[in-house]
Amino acid sequence: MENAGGTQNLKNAKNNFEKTIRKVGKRKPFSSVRNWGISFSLWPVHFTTACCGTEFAAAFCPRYDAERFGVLPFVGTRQCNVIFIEGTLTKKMAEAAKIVYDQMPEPKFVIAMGACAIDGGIFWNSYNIVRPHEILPIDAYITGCPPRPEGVLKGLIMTQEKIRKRGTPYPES
Amino acid sequence: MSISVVYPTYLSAVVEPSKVVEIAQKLNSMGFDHVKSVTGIDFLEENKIVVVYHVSSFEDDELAQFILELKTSVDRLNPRIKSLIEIWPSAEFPERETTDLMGVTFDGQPKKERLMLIDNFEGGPPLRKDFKLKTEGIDA
Repeated sequence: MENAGGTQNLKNAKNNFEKTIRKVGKRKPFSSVRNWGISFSLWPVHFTTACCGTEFAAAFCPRYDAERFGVLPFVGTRQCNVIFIEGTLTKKMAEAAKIVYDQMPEPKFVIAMGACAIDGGIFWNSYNIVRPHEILPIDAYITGCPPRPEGVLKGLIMTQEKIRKRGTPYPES
Repeated sequence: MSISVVYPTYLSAVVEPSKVVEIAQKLNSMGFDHVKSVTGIDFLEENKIVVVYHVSSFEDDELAQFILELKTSVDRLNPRIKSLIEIWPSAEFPERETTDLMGVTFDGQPKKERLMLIDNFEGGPPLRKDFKLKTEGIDA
């Protein structure tokens, strides 16, 4: 019995320690360091919903080279924390987008890319589209049809600034 | 049945819906070995749906220059036609797409589930003329 009590005490101590760390992490010097770290480790997931995917790919190729901002696409959803909605989102693809978003670990960010991802674009009022802001919390919008790779980079930099300056938009646990 | 030449490499054949399978078999034995697309066209006033098969050839070099459209019209209220999947296996996906978007039933199609739309899609086939869209945005 003594042993069991000891384990309980150890657990309590661990919980208290974690709570303290979380509290301290939200305060000023630590939170800004944490946000600085998050802003330079954005890993977008390879999830191409429509034709904007070509411009997205061009943004990460040598000419525009988004990797210099600390951003590189990965294949696995578990290793990623950014999802780009690349163009129009059909109802069938919206289900997949929601699953991919749910699989990503916190903190996570959503960037909507192109006219279709803002309000439908040329497919506005169609029978088969979903506007991404109805199902996902969008952090930044990139305009254009399709946006230039520079636009993609600008969207990424804006997201980084948003993380650093105004705090992160994800719910704090 | 009537055959016309639209322009030198594009042939058009209009057939009765009951004779489509027979003529498709003849075309297949002539060397037309695949279906390029299956389309449904909705004629609301004339109360019919025209189903168009575009067929061509990969194997025969001379026939490969030609595209033949095999047109047939079905009743709009009960659009039923025999599937050509046994003659041309490449007709499977475009036929299922036509079923989804135009509501034409192809008898003999082994897979019944939807291809393009979500399973619980509301409001009938969306590419028909009398499909009503819900208006969204500032006008709604």
